[in-house]
Amino acid sequence: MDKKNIRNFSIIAHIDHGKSTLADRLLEKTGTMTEREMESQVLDNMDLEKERGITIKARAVRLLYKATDGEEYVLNLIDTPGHVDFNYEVSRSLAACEGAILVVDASQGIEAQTLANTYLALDHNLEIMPVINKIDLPAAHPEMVIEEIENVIGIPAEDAPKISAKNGINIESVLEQIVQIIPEPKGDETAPLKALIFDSVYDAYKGVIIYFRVFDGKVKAGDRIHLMATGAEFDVVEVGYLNPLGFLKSNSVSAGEVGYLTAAIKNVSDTRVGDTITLASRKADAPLPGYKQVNPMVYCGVYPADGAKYGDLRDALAKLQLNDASLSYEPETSVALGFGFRCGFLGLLHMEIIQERLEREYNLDLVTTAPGVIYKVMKTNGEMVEISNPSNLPDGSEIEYMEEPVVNADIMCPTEFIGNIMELCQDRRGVYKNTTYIDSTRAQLHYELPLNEIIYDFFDALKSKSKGYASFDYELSGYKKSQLVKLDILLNGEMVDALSFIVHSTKAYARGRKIAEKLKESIPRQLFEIPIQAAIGTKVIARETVKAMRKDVLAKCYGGDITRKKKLLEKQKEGKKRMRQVGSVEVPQEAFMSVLKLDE
Amino acid sequence: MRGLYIHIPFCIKKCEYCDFISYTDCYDKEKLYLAAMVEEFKQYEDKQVDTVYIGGGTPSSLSTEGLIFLMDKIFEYFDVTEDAEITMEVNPKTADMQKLKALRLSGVNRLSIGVQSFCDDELNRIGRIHTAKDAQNCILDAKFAGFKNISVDLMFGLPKQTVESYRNSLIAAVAAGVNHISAYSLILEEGTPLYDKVQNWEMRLPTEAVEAAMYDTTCEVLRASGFYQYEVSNFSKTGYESRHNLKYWECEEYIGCGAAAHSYLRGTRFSNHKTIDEYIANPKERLDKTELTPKEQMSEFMFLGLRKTAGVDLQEFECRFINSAYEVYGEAIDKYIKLGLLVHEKGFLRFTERGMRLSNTVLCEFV
Repeated sequence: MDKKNIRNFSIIAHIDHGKSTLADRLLEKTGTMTEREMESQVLDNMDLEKERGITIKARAVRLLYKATDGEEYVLNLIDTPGHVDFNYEVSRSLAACEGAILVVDASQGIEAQTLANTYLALDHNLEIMPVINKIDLPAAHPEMVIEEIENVIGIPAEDAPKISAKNGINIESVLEQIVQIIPEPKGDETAPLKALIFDSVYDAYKGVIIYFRVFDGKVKAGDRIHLMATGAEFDVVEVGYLNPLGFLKSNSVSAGEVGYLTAAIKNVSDTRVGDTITLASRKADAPLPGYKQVNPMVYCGVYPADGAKYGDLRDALAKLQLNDASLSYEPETSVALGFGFRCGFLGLLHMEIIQERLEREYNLDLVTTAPGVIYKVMKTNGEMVEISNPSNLPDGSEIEYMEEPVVNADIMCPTEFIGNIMELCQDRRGVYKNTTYIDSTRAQLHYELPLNEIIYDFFDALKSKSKGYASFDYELSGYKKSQLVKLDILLNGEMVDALSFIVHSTKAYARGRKIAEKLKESIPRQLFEIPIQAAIGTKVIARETVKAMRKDVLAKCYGGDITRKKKLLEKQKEGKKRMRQVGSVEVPQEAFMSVLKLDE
Repeated sequence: MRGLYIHIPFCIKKCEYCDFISYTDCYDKEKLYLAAMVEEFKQYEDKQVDTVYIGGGTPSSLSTEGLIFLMDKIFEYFDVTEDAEITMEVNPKTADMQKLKALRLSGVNRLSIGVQSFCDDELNRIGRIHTAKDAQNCILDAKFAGFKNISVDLMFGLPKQTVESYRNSLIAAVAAGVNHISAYSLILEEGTPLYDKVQNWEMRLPTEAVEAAMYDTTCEVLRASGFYQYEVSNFSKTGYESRHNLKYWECEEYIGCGAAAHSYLRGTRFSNHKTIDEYIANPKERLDKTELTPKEQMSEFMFLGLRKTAGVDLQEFECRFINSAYEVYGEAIDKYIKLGLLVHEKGFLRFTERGMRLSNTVLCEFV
């Protein structure tokens, strides 16, 4: 295919602004798929993605379009994950393109994520092509949104197609503009191979399938490839293009094109997103820029609710990791929860997705501990250690100081909520940097926030303090010294390791009290009184008591219907089984989770 | 020896808390129902029973003729022993002196009167059709009719009930001169009108602590009045325990006749059709037949037997099941003896007083 007839592009949008729906329409209009063949929103093919309406992992698809100039074009749509947790993946997907369609909801306008992704696209020198979606909504103000795009982002938008992806209005004009506005790819077919990996998935039959974009040279079956960052080498078994309904084998994939290859690769950790593929026999002199190893930001303990399922959990994590190199896990043990794993995630959403997949796809019942971050601990002996599990924190006397990760956060909200949002950030130990005004009604607040303050309920709090209007984006900015303490929880005088966590000293009291209250609610009365204590070191800072049960007797008349009485006892027994024995106390699984949601 | 249970699923009005099988507006089917029951009796011809319990529903709401017919047929088809205990449940509003006399003369020798409370507001809230006065009269009438063995049912944990008002009901029952009292706690069952009202905050039930205090009050007041507790919710003067109910707790055999009745014979449990119409059409059909495994039989022997204050007879256990109770449940038994909830004494395993109050926690270990 002649390079001048190829267009490589992504779609960027805020969540719910209609990215996946537009992708569907493009597929339909190019006849790549008939309506009947199409399962709604083909690109999001994990069940979870469909339910949550977000795209978790990048996919790519090749569309054939006969333009009004009579020529046939290959349009490679490279989908991007739409969430801040997957920022690096987004950046690699964008790096594989020459242009990006910016979808903006005509009733909502620009939001934090729209901006973040647009800036990311501009960083990669992409041509931005705005599209105004949902023009058929009663609340649509396309003209205002166009003005906003021009003012805020500073790109022309007067010719932006005004469409409704949902109802298929004006989709042709999007296709025409892709051909006209987005530049054709450059590159030298005769130069040494340079191809960018933007995604890889594990297939049980073929091994890892690498999705890539060729910048220079070409790759064909039988080539021995060299991955420049990991140093791994493989013999290519198959190359081809990405049809919506499957793979289309071809002889080679060359400069400017997007394709896939398989090479009997067993593990996705060998095929890092962002790595450069070259030929072992004729290596490129330098890799493509921008590769980095992504590191987990959020950690939590994951335990099987039923200890006997430990092996199943291990196998499930191993399987998930085949497809998701950013998931890390290592075995750990807890006195309270038994054998489990400390898992690392890119962010909170990533964590929730993995947990949900473990529960749904692998049918596991999980108990998870409070999510935490990696703290750096400078010991008095001059050694610096990284701590992801609070239980491993060295003794206070050995700690010189501690550091915690901080992020730069951009929060966009209507001006009427600025006060609420500032209050929230203040409460979360945020350091105010500045505010920029997008227009007279909307502002963007810039804060530096400790990561451990935003990892659980910050997003929910933000939404509730802004009636749902605020949006939020963040980026890790580094580590800062901080006055942190480990808060322990004791039940009946015994420490429950799975409930310990690290918290800023100014918040320890309030947090300790709340957790004690929550636990009191979720631990049922037992045969004896149970003191619940929150302590820093040996100092108890909060106490609640679960009173001893006084009465648990079924004084109802059931006559000869013994099965009913038995069923009640069986139910009670079933409930008991779901409890964790912590010392002498029976703790329901929910108790471990209830401390995660303290603001309810 | 075997017991016979007769279910009469007829009620004038359904109580707010009730989830037992019973139907209103069906009195036109009384004759058909009794006739169907006779069909069922036939297959038990000449079976010996030494207790008969006619429950419901509201057996006393049937016509006097119907009840006499029923009693005649029981004696006709079953071999009822000379000294049998024959109980009928009575709603105070549905039994006048004439009916009570007829019952006594046709063979009933024990009444279980559904009083529930001696406070009219409480009765009204739970949808009972009678007043406290009706209950007082009924007990007196029963005595005049010649009944020497009278039990009343009381309930605690009723909406807005206080420990004080409940204590008054207990005292009123004692003062009325009955020799057996069943004190049941109200269990909120899904699908009842009361359940909905509580869900919608239209009614409030006493807290767990108040209910526990009521249970304590029951034991305290009745003990002081010469009653002794022989089961979780049953109290009597010596010699007036309900022999029929003891059969359930001792895993004896029983034949259940009538709609929705359960039977337990030769280690097998089964039930009859639930609705009146289905029962009338197929009075002999057995449903949900389940043969209990030895393990299930052991489990029932324990969790039902422990409901009695006397506890389970460990020797009897070994006789029935060859293994000793310790061989099967040793771990749980030891655990709760250590915690002071069970005691092993004179060949019996029984609850301590505290253990009785927390019995479910212990009993579910035997299920």
